[in-house]
Amino acid sequence: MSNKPIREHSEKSRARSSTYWGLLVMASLLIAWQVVSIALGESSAGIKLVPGIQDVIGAFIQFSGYWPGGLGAGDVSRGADKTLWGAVLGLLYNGGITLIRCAIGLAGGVIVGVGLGLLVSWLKVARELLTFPAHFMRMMPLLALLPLFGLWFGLSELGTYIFVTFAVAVLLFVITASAINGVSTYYLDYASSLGASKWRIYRSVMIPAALPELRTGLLLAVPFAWSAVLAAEYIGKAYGLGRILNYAQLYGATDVIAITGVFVVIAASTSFFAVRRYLNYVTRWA
Amino acid sequence: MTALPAVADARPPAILLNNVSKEFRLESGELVQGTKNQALRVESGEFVCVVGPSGHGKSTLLNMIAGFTLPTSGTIEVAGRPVKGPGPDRGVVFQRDTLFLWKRVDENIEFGLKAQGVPKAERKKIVADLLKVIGLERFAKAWPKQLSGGMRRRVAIAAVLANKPDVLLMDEPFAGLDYLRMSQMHEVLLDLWQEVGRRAVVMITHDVDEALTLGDRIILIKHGEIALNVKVDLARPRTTDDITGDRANEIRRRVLEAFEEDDQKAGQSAKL
Repeated sequence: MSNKPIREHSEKSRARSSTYWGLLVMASLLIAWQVVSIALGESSAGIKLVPGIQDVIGAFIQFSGYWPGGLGAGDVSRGADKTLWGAVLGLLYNGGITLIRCAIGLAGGVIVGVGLGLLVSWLKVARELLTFPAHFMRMMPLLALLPLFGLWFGLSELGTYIFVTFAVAVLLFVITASAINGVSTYYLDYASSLGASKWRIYRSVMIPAALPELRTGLLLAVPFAWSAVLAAEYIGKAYGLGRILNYAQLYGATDVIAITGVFVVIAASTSFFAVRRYLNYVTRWA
Repeated sequence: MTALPAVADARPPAILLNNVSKEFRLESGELVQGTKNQALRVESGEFVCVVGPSGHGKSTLLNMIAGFTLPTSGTIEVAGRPVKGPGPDRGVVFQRDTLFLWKRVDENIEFGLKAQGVPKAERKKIVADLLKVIGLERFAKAWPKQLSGGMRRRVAIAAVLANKPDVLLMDEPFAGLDYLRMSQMHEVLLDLWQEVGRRAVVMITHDVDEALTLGDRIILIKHGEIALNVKVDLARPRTTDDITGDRANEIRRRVLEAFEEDDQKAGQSAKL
């Protein structure tokens, strides 16, 4: 206890030095990128396979084409001019749509995946019924299922939600079942010798004891949900970052892809850190 | 020792083992006898210390009384009722740390009471009293990870005693504590034991000195059999002088000799 301030100080300075190093590596990567871009130049088709940093910044205005119009910026597809304001709105609009789809899918996946995982560890019948199909599903390549989801649900929002939910749920189902399974039997013996019922043991011993491992699974699920939602949008959505990626690929706009990528990284890390913060609070006892 | 009569006096003994055997099947399919024809009678209010080499069945005995595992043959009764599984009449303090890490100290102590449906006001009072006895009032709201090993042991014992079990089963509860901490814990334990009703205690230990300090009786388990069952007729409270006196040394010699005796002799003495 007495050495706490010292430890906090050294932890802080360590964190700071790792930030310096991180920035240094990022800066060198940017320089390397620029060098590669100049060295490669344009392909025979006139596409810059690696866009220069100036191209990327210049391409930002393209995002005004993905704004449906309003708030002082017009719809480019109906002849309005491309404006920076329109680009900001376009990026935020599509990013927001993707974020909402991601959040709904992730929430659904957590509810279904963790729920089924808990059900399976509580009921032997459920375990026997579900374990094999779940492992089977987990081995199915998710992207290969995407066209099937497209056929089943068409362009509906529900299809996107269900796809993300499915992706996250299969992952979390397996992790939840294994986390509960890994709880030390000492806890169960101890709790039952104190007179706790099966339900009480499950609710206030098994589930909290499994939380630290579940936390790892939930943190994995966040970037996973982002990948899934982008993939779903890429295949068939009118709006969303995945749709922008699809168009950009069609027109060889590597610079637009780069901006979208950076935006996704920022949005995904922000959501990741938010979820991590919450989970760290929930498992602060560990 | 062979089978004892089931009921000797009006009040049934706290623990009664009748011809108890336990076999384990190893993964290889081989059958191993963990406990052989054990007969044991522990009166209520009695403090029994179990010593013996590692892997000779001390914990198996405890686990069977606790109801975590059932004997292959023979019967175990606690307060006259056959043991069918774990229950709050038998509190268990494990060697391993079993405090719920996700519950604060007071919630850990409260857990058993809550499970029994004790009303909240009463629970709070029992918890507050126990915290005072173990000297951790200031840590009521701490997480277990914030406590030292000795403090956690005290909480673990308090959590089990909150239930006021008739029988207290302990598997090397103080292993790994330094001497000073251990004697403090002994005092806490004896206080709690002598408190209301004087409950029966069965405690596994590796330390003969500890057994002499605490026990009314010392039982030596070797190869799954009770190889020695000796009364510790020393006055309480026991000081360092008491457990190094002539009478104590005589008991100590008997225990250590039985400990070291070769297997065949140990087998014979178990049948005496």
